[in-house]
Amino acid sequence: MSRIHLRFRTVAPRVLALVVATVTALLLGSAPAWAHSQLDSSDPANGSSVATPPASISLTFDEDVQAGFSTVTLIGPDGKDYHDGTVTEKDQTITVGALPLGPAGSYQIGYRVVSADGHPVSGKVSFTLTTAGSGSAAAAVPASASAQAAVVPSAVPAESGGAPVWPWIAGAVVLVAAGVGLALRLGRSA
Amino acid sequence: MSVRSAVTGTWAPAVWTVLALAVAVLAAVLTGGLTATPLSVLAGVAATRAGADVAGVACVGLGLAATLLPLGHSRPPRELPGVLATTDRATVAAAGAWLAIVVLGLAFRTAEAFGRPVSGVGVAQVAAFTTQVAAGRGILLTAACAVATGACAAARLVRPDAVAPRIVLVCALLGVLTPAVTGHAGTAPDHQLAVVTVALHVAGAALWVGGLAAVLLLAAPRPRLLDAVLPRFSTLAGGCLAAVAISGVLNAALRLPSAAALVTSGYGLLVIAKAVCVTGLAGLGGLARRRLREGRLPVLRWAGAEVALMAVTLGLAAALTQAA
Repeated sequence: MSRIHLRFRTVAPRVLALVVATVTALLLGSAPAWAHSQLDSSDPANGSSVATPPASISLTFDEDVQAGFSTVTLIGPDGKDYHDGTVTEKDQTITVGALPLGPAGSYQIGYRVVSADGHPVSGKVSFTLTTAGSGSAAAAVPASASAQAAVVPSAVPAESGGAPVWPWIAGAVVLVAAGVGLALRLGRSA
Repeated sequence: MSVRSAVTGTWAPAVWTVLALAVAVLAAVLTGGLTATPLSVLAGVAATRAGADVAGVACVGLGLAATLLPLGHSRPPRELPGVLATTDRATVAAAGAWLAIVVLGLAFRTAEAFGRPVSGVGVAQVAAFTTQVAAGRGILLTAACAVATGACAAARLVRPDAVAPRIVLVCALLGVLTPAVTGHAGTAPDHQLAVVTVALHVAGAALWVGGLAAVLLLAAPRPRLLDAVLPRFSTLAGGCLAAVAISGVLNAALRLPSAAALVTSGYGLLVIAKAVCVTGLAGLGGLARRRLREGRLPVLRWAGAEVALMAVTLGLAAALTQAA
């Protein structure tokens, strides 16, 4: 009886030590970032008025932005999207190049970024351009009807190609079920 | 299907699973309804998260039962090897379900990050999500732990002394921890403290819920095994309750910007709901312990209801992981 108690007492601390050691290792490996990031600041600032059209827009969040998952729109008062397609994510800031802006008025920056826990965060910032810029309406990409209606993007723009993943998922689930069946059958015969 | 078998018998695991899933989906839809994410993706993310948690907790509970059952017997009853074999078979099945649900969940999480329905998600996007986003890497780790748990349990089926039961328990615990430490905890002002408290919270909850369910289903029909394991488990459960309550309060305090956020944000409301459930569980557990000294059967019915309430809490917890 005492032998079994002694065994339990030596097993439990070892299990605990193993768990603590592994959690510490995970701690060191996990990316220190904020889930559900918040927008800290933007350039141009929200609600500000600028006389010179900015060449680029930057948005700074309170945590690192995941590269490759961000979408930003820059919709002018004429309903056209003035971002030039370049997106740079560095640490907590995302910088988007802007085409030469057009008419004076209210410009809305819509953003959708993904934080480290995989959750999307979206919102918008607006600024007013007091003097009309030199940009021509032709150069700016006409924003799609949905982008005009909702300045804030709701999805990462689709890339061309890319095989759908759901057949692979279905295949993996079938494989797992077969594996479990096999293991149970092996166990029964052993 | 009688009420009795639904609470403590053969249908109980199915009832508990459906409870957890339903609560998770409902809570996620109620608190996340204003976001741009399509409802099907929201529901899918919540359901797969809750399902993975249920399967993981089941593996932890079965591993704990396999570890606790042989101890305290200088002369093991002859039913013990049979019960251990049942435990291993159940662990293989639960680990397989865990892996399948985690893989499904990966598709839904990728869909949420990219903002499109699951049918429109491509292989390249899943690859990007798993390599670049911390949460995606965490999902891969969870899948690996599920595979390890299933493999160890399968090895034990072929040769019972091939792998010690505590190895199965540790693999399952690690798999349950990986989503938690790569999730919200990475965000708190005191990142290291948040990860440690959430790890304690999840480990304590998994041992408590899984252990109670496994003891109830495996040992309850066998009085001699139950007599040996229940007092031992009862002590562990008391420690787990304390760890879960304290770490839960600490983690909520770290995460919520102010006390007012408890009632203003979806996250805060879910925290309150969980706190109410845990208080109820503490009450049920205390009642069960008192009845333990008087008679056995009422304890089992209380325990069945207790696990059902735990399933509800688990569902709320799954929704909490997705809430702002």
